[in-house]
Amino acid sequence: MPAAVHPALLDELCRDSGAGEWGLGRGEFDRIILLVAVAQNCGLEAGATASQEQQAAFFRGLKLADLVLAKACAAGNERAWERFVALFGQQLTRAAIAISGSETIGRDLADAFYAELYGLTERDGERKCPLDSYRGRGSLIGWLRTTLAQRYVDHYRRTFREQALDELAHDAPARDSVAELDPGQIAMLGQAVTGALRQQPAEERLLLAAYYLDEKTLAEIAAVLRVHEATISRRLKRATEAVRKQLLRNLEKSGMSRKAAEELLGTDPRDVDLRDIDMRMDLKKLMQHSTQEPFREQVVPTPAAGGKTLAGTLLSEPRATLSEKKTEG
Amino acid sequence: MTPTIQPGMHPNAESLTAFAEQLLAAAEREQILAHMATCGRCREVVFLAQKAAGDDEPGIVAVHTRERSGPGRRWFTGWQWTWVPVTALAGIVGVAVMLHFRHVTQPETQMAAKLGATDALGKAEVAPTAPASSPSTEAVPELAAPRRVPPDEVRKDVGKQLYKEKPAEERDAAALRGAGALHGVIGGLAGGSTHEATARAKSLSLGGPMNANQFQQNANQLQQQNLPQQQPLPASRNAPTLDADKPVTANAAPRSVTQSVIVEPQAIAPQAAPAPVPAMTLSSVANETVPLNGRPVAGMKKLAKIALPSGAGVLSSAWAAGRTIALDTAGALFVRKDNQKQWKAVQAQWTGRAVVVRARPVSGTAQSAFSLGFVQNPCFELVTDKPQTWVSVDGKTWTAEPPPGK
Repeated sequence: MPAAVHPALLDELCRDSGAGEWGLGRGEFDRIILLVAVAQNCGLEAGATASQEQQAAFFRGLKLADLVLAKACAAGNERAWERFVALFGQQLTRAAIAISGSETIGRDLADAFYAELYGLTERDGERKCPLDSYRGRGSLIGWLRTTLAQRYVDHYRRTFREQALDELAHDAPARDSVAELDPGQIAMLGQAVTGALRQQPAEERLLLAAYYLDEKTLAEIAAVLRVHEATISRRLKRATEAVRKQLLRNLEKSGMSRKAAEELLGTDPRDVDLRDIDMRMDLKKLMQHSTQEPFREQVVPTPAAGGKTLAGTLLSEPRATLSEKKTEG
Repeated sequence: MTPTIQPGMHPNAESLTAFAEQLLAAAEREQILAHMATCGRCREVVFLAQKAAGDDEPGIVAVHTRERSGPGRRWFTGWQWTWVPVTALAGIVGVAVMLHFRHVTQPETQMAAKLGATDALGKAEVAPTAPASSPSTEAVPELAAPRRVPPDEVRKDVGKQLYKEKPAEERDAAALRGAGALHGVIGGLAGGSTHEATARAKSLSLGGPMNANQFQQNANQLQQQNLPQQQPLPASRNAPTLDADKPVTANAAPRSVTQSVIVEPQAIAPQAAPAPVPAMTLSSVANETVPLNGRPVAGMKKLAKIALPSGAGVLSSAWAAGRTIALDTAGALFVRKDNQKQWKAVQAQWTGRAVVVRARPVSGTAQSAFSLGFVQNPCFELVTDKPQTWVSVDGKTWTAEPPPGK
């Protein structure tokens, strides 16, 4: 529990947030903001007690104006809703269209989301508004976009299995000509891959997953991580090389010769069973989709395009980075 | 989209938004990264939200890309590189300015030493104290301190300067510099006739047409007065024309000679100069006057350092006997002792507008004006636009000087 918040700080926050504009009294504002503080423990570890300076820093880091507007909307304040629609109406529709990639679906998605925000849905006989869960950590429009994306992804997941099989374009890639391996070697390879990936930092794993599995472009990854594309390219290259080296090292540690380890990396990834790793599905896909060169930007790979595996990618010679490619071009 | 379903709890929209907006603490960010590395759903949510933000705000990607370049990289990204050409440009400009001033100062110094003789001949009352035969950079401040010399002495000095122990060619060049001087130099630079050179001097002169005219007057005056001395050397009379065909040496004709058009204290002084007085010890007095139609020589730049209480610029200043007096452009006079920092305003006791102040020789006119009972001799003189000369011992109390001959 945080220590008692200084009343002068609450006064200042209330004044800055514009709570009075939506008819929120000081008592209501205090309740909102203290709930936020308790829920997040002022941004500290659980059990820690926030000093008044930490409290002030936490509260000042909140998007108070957005928070108050969201709470006022959740409370059914009409003026707040008018303001909300004026501020975010068009932005939400555009965001929905961008997320879905279709104007029709996007508008439907936005309309459904509005209805949900307005509290037309009830749970246990009580009107529920998603805005109630907004805590002011990020911007309200950012939160709205993220929530919209969640709705869309969840909807896609629900309906994905309803698609006809012939609409699924993912044909299984043809098996390459690598000789069949015995189950022991396959298991060894699975453990080596698991260990190699686990030793990578979380951000590098995210890079690998986003690039190889989700087929995101360098620009998209750079936008999310807020670094330059060239940085993503370099880090991706380093991560790939590090995984490759670690994979070979792991295989050699398990008693395999270097040559045998390199041969083993040519194994069809579908044969590798990665039971002990959360990324097992992703890894299989990673190995299937690692046919494209890692830095050949913006080329959408097709599973049937080649038979190279993750091992092939990892074993390959370092390739030109994005910047080098641009220079060449 | 990856239709894989990940087990376990997902971060809420709040956390994902804070992650995308780089608002999370390091520990929490690491947790979200670790989750996203294994959770295709959350990756997809974040990427879609970011895509929507990028579509909605086209500039967001570029801006944010710059924001998080790492603390050590910010200097080397984006527009931060502009400091390189800016610095280079500043350096080039600085060098150009230095070279320019060097060019201006050197010819001014050299030409001032030479033109000192010219002026001495032209006015027959003021001569440079530094010997013209050894021009140096110190000649400029000394030039500002006038010394009254009999015309005959001046001619003799100039004659020595020009013709003493020099071979014929050098004598011609000296005659060109000292007597016909400017026409020849300018003509040599321009590679054309004297007339063209004069026209060029007018067009190039930084001081404007007035300077060029002044040159012309000085040169003509000099030629007329110098004629007897030049008779033994007939070539020297035609020197400007003859030498116009062959360029003079770089030292004799610096490129910026037209910029050295003279800094002439007398330009603002009234023509009614006081009677000639015996030479005085120049080390005890100093005069500084801003030329109205020319560039200040190096020694006069210190006038700019004087900050008067009126805030106006300094028109003229003089130092003598431990006091400095300064006249500002509004005609107000200020005095200051050497050991003081503050300037004191002097109430105008003269009629008309003061245009120049000078340190006064300690003998001569002073004796004539203050022969009746004053222990001290006047140190300063002030000339008004009437023109009338006022003198003072301490710079504060001024008395009109009787006209010469009375």
